[in-house]
Amino acid sequence: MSLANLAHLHLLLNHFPTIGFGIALGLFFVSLAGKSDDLKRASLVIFLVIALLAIPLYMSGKAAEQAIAGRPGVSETLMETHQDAALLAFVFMEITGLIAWLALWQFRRFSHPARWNLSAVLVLSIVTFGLMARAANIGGEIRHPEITSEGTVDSDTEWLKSASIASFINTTAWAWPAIETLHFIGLSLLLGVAFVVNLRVLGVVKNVSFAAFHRMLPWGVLGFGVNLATGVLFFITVPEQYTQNIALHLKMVLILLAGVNVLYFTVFDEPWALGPGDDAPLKAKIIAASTLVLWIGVIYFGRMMPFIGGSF
Amino acid sequence: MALAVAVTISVLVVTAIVGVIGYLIDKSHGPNS
Amino acid sequence: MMDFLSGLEQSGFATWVRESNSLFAYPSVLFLHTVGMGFVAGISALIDLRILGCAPEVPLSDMRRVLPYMWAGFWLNAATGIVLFTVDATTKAVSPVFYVKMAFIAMAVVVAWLIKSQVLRDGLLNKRPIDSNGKILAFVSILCWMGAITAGRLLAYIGPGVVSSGGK
Repeated sequence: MSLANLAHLHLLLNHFPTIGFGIALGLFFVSLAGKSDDLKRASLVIFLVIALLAIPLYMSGKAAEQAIAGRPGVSETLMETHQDAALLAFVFMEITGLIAWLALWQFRRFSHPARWNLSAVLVLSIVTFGLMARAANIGGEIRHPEITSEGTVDSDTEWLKSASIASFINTTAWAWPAIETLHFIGLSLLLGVAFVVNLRVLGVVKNVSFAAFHRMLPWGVLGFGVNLATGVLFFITVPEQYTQNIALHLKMVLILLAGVNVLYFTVFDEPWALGPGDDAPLKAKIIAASTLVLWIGVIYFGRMMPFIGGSF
Repeated sequence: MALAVAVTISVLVVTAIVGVIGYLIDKSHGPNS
Repeated sequence: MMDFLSGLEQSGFATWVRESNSLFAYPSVLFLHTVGMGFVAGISALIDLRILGCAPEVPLSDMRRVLPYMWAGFWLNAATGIVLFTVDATTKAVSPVFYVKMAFIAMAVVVAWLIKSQVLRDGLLNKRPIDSNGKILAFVSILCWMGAITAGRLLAYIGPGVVSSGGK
């Protein structure tokens, strides 16, 4: 995708963690006040989906920056400040998404999430919304000087600075290999869980209920979390290797699709209902097979990044 | 050599932290569902 | 010895893997090696975590049934590993990191075998908690695979590397 298209993608996606998240937050409040489990679960799913969409949003921001950098009236400082504010908001968004997923998992297993979980989601989502709104506001000022109230924002006000992170990793010899190693370990954990859970649906180890394997899902999500964090660190350190790398774009698309599949296995009745000895319906088996193909595809495009896309 | 030691230690530390978090989350959901 | 390794490295197949621009050459070997790693280390980690007490609903005796898939990953990596070795034989054979990786893998295999014969073959498996011997084996197994993965990654950074797969 060209820089211009990626910039458009950024402007499209940024509505989700702002307006979309605001609506989800409203829905969540209503669900808590009205004590509706269905509404709670719906809001949690929306939180999770938006957290997933925040990944390509964050990454496309870099391309958007490259697309307009150097144009008259565009402030580099403002873009850097926006990027750093966005990173902080993104971190909180992903943590919110992970805990929202755990709540959905608990809903499935225990019919209600742990009390601390919903409180945590509430607090985190409010903080996330605030941080996202702030980042979006700064972002808006990049191309809308008519609404800027004061002069340019000083980028030193940001807590999490991409430049500092990138600088540390670039200058510390052991950092990059360590992050790569952790990325492989996370991958192994994720693939291990995905494999075993999907094997059950496909019919291997059929005498065990699906619910027993469902218990392992948090470990898979933990592996995914490690890879999300290490992946973002890679991206922050050498964005030029990634922003226009088609293999990375495809990898992200597959991850989003795989994320939807994970939601299916976490929440839906069909796989959950599989008791000991039960054979899964065809639809579940197709989804299980596709999940495995998706994750292997993710590994494929990840591994191919230096070779396809050729920006290394 | 120093690189190998630094990488190994940092990987062990992070994995240990992640492992403990995972273990605690797992344990908090009870022995039998 | 060096002549033999050099011969391997210069063989038609190894040269093709190393120098071809085709995605089916070196990139695919790396890809398959990564997948195999995911299977062998991942499934092993799940069994180890289960022995250590996580996800207790999963009956351990049934976890035995996924072992063939773990070994499939192992043999995939043995095969792709041999290819990766021949592509760079003269350098790998004198790299201490390479032997460290092989040592971790050998230990992991021995521990896996011990787990299978001592823990998973126990007749009372699902009826009583795993003894501490089993738990120590599970913990060591995790460490061995982590060591293998770490050493494997370091191969691209320590010692002269012909084809580095490091991203930076």
